[in-house]
Amino acid sequence: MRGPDSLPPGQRAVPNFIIYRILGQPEVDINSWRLRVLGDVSKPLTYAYEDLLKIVDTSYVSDFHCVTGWSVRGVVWEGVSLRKLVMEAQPLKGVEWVYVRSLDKYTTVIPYEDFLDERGILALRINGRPLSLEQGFPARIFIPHLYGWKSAKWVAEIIFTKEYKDGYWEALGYHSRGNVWREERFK
Amino acid sequence: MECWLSSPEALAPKGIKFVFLCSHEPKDIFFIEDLHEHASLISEFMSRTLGVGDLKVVFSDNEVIGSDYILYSYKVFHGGDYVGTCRFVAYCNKLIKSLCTISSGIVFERS
Repeated sequence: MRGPDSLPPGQRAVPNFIIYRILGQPEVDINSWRLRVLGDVSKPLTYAYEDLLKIVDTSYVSDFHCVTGWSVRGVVWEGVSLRKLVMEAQPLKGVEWVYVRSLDKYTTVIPYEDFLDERGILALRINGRPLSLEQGFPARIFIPHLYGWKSAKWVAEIIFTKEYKDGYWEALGYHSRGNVWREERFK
Repeated sequence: MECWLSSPEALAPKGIKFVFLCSHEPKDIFFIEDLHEHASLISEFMSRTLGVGDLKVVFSDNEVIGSDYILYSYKVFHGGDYVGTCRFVAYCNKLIKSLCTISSGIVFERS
């Protein structure tokens, strides 16, 4: 039974985020940084950081779950709903995957139907502050029901696609979806 | 045991050239020693597939993932050089999957 305060199977609460930077800490020049939304879409988009700040539409509290087994409870997330980006870009019929590429060349792949989750967010702020560099400034994906490796930090490109392609951890055997409640850790 | 060899573009930034992903019948793992034979099999398979003679797969450490999974990490050596990593995935103490990565930095001499 899944109660409002329950953790997903196999998770334990910890007091704060554990920071991973598997490909190192990228340098971020916020003046030149752009988020590109592209791939199989009707309308490719490019956003500067200031553009995103103007369209912030979502704020909520949700736990964060790392596939290694730790969870941080009650994180305040604020940013742009992924649905808003989808509505703007208008993905083509047949799109099934969203491939995310970060400044550090990290990649991950998210099923399109999960990307459309009503709480999916391009987070710009955590716990009332802009993202720190370590937490993925200027923007990171967050989808509450997916493990943290899908929450790519330092996002540079969101690519809608009909074809599946492994991202970094998926190429190392991790699950193509990564639903925390179904404990989809490995393929 | 069935294995697949790939060269995922996503791992190129990490300097990884080859990925071996193997699935097999669940095998009980209660001691590190229980993985020795499996490590040898993987080593032989990779050596044969890559056309090199002396890949060695040596236990490094293990870590828990969630509460039911344990990853057993191994280092892969070629002629004394560290060239890759293997991770054997156990679920509830049963080995279910193996994944090895081989660096792109190493140039193998075909034997």
